[in-house]
Amino acid sequence: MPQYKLHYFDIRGMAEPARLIFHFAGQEFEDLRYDRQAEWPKVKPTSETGKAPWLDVDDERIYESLALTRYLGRKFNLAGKDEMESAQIDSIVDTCKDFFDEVQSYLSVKRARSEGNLEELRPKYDETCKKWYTYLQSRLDKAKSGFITSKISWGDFLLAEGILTMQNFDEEFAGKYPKIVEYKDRVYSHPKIKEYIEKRGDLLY
Amino acid sequence: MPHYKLNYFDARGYAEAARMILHYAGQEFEDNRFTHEQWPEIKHRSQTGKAPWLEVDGEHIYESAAITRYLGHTFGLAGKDAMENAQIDSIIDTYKDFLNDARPFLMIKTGHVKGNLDELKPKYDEACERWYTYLQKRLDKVGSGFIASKLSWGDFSLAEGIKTAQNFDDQIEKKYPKIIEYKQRVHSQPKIKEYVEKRADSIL
Repeated sequence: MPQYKLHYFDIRGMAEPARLIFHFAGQEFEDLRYDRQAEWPKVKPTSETGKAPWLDVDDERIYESLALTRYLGRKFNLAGKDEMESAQIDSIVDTCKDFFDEVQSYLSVKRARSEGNLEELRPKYDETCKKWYTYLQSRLDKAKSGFITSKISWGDFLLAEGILTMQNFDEEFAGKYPKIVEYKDRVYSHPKIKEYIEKRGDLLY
Repeated sequence: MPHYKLNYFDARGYAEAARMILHYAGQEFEDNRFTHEQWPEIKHRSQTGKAPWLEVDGEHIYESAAITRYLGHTFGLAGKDAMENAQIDSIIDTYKDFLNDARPFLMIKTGHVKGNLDELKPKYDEACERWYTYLQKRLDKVGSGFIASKLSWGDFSLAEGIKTAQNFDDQIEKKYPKIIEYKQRVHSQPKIKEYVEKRADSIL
């Protein structure tokens, strides 16, 4: 069995879908979490891209969160039943990334990470959410399994994490998108990750 | 054989790597190209409101990387194993990060946005230096002339990006000659050489 070491900060962020895969698969791994102030400045130069997360698999290293999550997804049978399903997972995940890029400015102000006028940014935020979550719902309706493809996948883990983050920053979210929150709960209540989800505590981001 | 239909603007852009794979594989496909004027009418056909998308016997795949990766896996242009595939994905995503860093400068250079080129140039040059140094390091590590042990969909995407960069920056060939050699190595592969020579160029 290879040795897995996941390197990231002590947040859910871009590494949590990978952590979920490890827990789902019952695969031991080193879950390294760097303190941004105390440790990251020394660790950052060791990252060839200057960024985190990265995954060590024995002596090989994979940078970029989607690349390492997709790798683990394929390894642990969480990547769809065939190449077309794998492509649909990739596609929906990339569309999700486009969504988060677009709402970034609103969420950043909401988190008080930057200055701005929430009222001004709100209409675009609402419109962007509506487009994305309507699209996601149409994909869920099409697959009919309760997940984005015929069975649970790394894509569902990533999307569920994103939905949790949205709920943490938008108190109206559950009221506006109840079926989306149900989807997230369905992913999180899978027997193989339920316990980990309950134990990990409520990390905002 | 499934019926393939690729839908995009009449430009290389985010669809050219996919076109190249299909030409490389000798696979017939509908190369549906539309103009920016036609786009408002066509847009509603895209479930995400964006292009490109690929239709495979009527099933739609959105997002250029998902499309290109799918075609790569279908036509023998993926890595030799799961780890190589992860490295291809990783390099492509790092390239996307580079594009995000370079975009402010390029938007002004292409005239899409007004701004001060001189102000943004240092950051742009720095981003180029970081990215091309990283890419060269990866090429040197593998030693095959490509980013994985053999030609892959990742090389097609990166070669297109390098060609586009050259359209906007005449310094690239001087500063990064080995990167240009890499692009030429990809574009002179026998199965696509003719397509590359005959195709209409587009700035993006």
